[in-house]
Amino acid sequence: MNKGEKHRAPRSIAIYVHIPFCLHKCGYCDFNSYALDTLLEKDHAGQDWAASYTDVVIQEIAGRCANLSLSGRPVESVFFGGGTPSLFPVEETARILDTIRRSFTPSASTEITLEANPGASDVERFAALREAGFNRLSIGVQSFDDETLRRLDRIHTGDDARAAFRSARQAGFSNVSLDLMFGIPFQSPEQAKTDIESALVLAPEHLSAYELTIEPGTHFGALHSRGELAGLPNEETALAMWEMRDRLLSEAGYERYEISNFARPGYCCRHNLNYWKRGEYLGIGAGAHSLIGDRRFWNHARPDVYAKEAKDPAAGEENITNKRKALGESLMLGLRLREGVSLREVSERCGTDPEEKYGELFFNLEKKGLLERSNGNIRLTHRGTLLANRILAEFL
Amino acid sequence: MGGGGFTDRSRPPDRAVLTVNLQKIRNFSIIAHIDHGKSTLADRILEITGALSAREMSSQVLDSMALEQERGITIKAASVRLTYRAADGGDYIFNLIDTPGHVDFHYEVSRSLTACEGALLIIDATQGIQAQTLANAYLALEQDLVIIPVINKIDLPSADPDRVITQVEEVLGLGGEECLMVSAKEGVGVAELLEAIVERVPPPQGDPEAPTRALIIDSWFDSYQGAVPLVRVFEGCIRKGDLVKFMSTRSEHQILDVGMFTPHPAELGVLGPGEVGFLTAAIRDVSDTKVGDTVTLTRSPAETPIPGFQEPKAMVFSGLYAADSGDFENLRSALDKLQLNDSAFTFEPETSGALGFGFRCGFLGLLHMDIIRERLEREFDLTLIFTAPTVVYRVVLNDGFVEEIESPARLPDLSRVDHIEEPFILGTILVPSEYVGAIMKLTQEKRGVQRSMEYLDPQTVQLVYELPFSEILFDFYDKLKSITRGYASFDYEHLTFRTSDVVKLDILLNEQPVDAFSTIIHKEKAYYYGRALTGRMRKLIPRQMFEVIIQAAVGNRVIARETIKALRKDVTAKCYGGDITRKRKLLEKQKEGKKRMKNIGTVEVPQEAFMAVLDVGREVS
Repeated sequence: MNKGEKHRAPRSIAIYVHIPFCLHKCGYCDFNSYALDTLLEKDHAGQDWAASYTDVVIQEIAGRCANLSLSGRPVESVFFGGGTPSLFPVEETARILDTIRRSFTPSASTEITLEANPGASDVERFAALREAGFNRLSIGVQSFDDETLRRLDRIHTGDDARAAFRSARQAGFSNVSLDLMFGIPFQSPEQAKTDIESALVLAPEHLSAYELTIEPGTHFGALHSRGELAGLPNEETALAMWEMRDRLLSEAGYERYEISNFARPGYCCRHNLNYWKRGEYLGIGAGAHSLIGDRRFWNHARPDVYAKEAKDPAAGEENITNKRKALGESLMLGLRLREGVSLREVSERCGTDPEEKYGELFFNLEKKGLLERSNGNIRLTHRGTLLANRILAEFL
Repeated sequence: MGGGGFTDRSRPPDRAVLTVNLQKIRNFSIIAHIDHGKSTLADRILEITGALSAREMSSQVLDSMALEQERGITIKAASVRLTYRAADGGDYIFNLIDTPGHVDFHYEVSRSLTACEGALLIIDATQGIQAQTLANAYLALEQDLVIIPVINKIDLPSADPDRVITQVEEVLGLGGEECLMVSAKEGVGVAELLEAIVERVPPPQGDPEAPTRALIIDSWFDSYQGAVPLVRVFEGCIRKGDLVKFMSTRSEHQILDVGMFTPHPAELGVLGPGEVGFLTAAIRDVSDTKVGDTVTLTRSPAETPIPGFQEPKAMVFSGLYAADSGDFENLRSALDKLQLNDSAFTFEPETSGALGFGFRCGFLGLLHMDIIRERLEREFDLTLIFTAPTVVYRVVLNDGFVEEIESPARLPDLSRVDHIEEPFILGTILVPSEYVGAIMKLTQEKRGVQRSMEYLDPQTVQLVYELPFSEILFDFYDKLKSITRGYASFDYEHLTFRTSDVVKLDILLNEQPVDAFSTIIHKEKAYYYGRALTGRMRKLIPRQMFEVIIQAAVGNRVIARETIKALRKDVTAKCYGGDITRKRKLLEKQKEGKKRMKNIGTVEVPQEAFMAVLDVGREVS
């Protein structure tokens, strides 16, 4: 280690913990999650499944810290995702968070989020989580319309979602995010609008509003590939929903800071921003992905296999030492953000000048009204955002 | 073919002596309509003469190229020298000279037949005389060959040899009693056939002391021996060590080896009159060894060549481009290699605004083009874009000058053009009489003019049509087969150029003409063609970030128009830490797909759209 590095403060990282358990697997969901009842029958009869999983997670944290020399690194954000982390016993959740606190160096301002589903969300549980140190909740509402929720295979109602939000507030959470979905089969534009309005009534600090994506490997994906998924909106209707979403949220004082994410000033999700800015992150738990230095690696997705390998649970790894690949990823992720990408920053981080590599492409995209450039910064225009895949593919 | 390594180079170069008695040589070809059993009979002859052991008999030895075996047709002649002990106790040398079996190769067939004194005319006992039976028989008669009619497949239940005998008598004017009854598959009648060859095919004649004249009947490229011509000597001799001259190209070469396939390559040392064999002379270029050319000796040359030589002339042209423009040099070297073995195939560099650098390639016909395409894709692993094939048009300018154009792009400005002429062919169709109506309808659609109609027997009609060559380019043969349930057969020869009302049809993408899609077409068909092609392209060109307008135009007049609406949304709603690798790979895949497209102006056009020109040609023509 040379002198210069010795005195530089180590960069902060983000920590993600994956809790891959749900009460029920929804038809559209392609996250790494398992319905708890089948899991309980299969593996852990008689054992405390949550405690076992927690033990493995804690073991992994220790292993990663040692192997990757991460001990004591500053932590900007912690995110418990799933699955349904709110389903996990609070004491086990707290045990994991405590381990993270001891192993790394969080600050008072570290953003600590937990994903919750309206089904498993009472005031007591939320209060206990608040007590354990969580300061942000992200509630998977998806819709407030019971019929639409049934179509999505969700096991809660619109009223459950409202109740969960109120519980969060009562438990003292002052930073709450809601997840909404639109473009759902048979959803009318009016209903999509009502969903947004219902969310606005609750006045969350943050909103994620996604168009439903039909993912391969899901129940919806199987139906879709057989041509049996009826009622999906056509391009025109879906576009109208995007426009409606942007307009309503903007009028209500939310800023769209990413393709599908909105926040009131000061409440952008720092954890996710770190992904889009291609910062370092450590993913703990079954199927979790990490990016540390120029290594991207991921754990085995199945909890039982993951548990067996917990000391070194890598299921896969790729090295992104290739500067061009790193640059491509930086643009692919960064251009999702409304603020775009600072070319100087990317150039410094990736060791290669994007202007040199893509100058002509930037120019052409700008000419076509898909990209904006100002003061060494590039970002997608409104039209460019809707065609992001076409544009981002150019950088890979 | 060829196969190096059999020459014993330690042997002193003393003068080889002629040992072969002319009276014991029989030179013959097997000619037949496709699938009438030519290759099977050749195999049987090889087997019976003991040229190949049973172990060596792979099915259909003569069709050596894989492609030929697959298509069941012989593309390059492969000939063998066999020894046969006849019933009279004499040992005979049989030179079995193979002929290519498709209409595109008329000239090559005629040269092979020139090398023979006799021909076995195979006729399928179940099908009778077909168009190529006739065409081949006429070629053989023109060369004054003795024809031995062989009625094959007599073992099949549907065989009707009596009907075929009647056809042979009435259509070909040969004696019915001359017909041999054979089942090449079962080996029936083959022994009698061999005897008939000895008895009926006359021995060759020729003065071994006269100035040497040998006809090139085939040539190929061997990576060790260079271009290797196969010749039939008519007069004089060719010996190892001789300095020879090819009369059309005037190139001179020293003979290193004289040999023949038995079918294993065997050194002969000398070829005398009536003999057939190959010459190796370290000839670099197969274009020096042109089929039909005459080989003579430098020191005492013949005064005149053997008549009938023609420069190979490509009749069908197409632009050929590597789908990946980075493959341009690979394509060039592949074309170079193919041309080594096929001097009838021509290519020259061409530039297309749409497709970049490529080649304008000339072929004898569409089958020839298909063969080249398959070989390029199979042997050289290239993904190719062929533009619509075109015939050669003669453009007569106002000042009387004539330009022959092989590409729609080269059509001069119409204000300078007095008129345009297109090539016509004379097509012969043989068909069961009940399909005459259907044939008449088809030929009318193809702008054909009937020249004659003749009953060969009560069931079989011979129809002769003058047809524009361009009309049989795409699918004439397929359509003919389908409307006659496979019973019609077809053969053609090139006729002449005639004035024709053709126009150039252009395709425009976002107002920009795309040269690769241009075509020359008869005025009456332009509208349907333009509509069908724009319609097909609308389906093949994916939606883009901007609206794409596809137009078909003749001159300034737009005759068809289609619109592809702009894509307005292609965005991944979610992307988080765990998704990045997967999402990146999805986008990379998307980009790969894009790479396979050609950028024409701002429009990305998939390769299939270029191929559509061929399909639409098939539908409309």
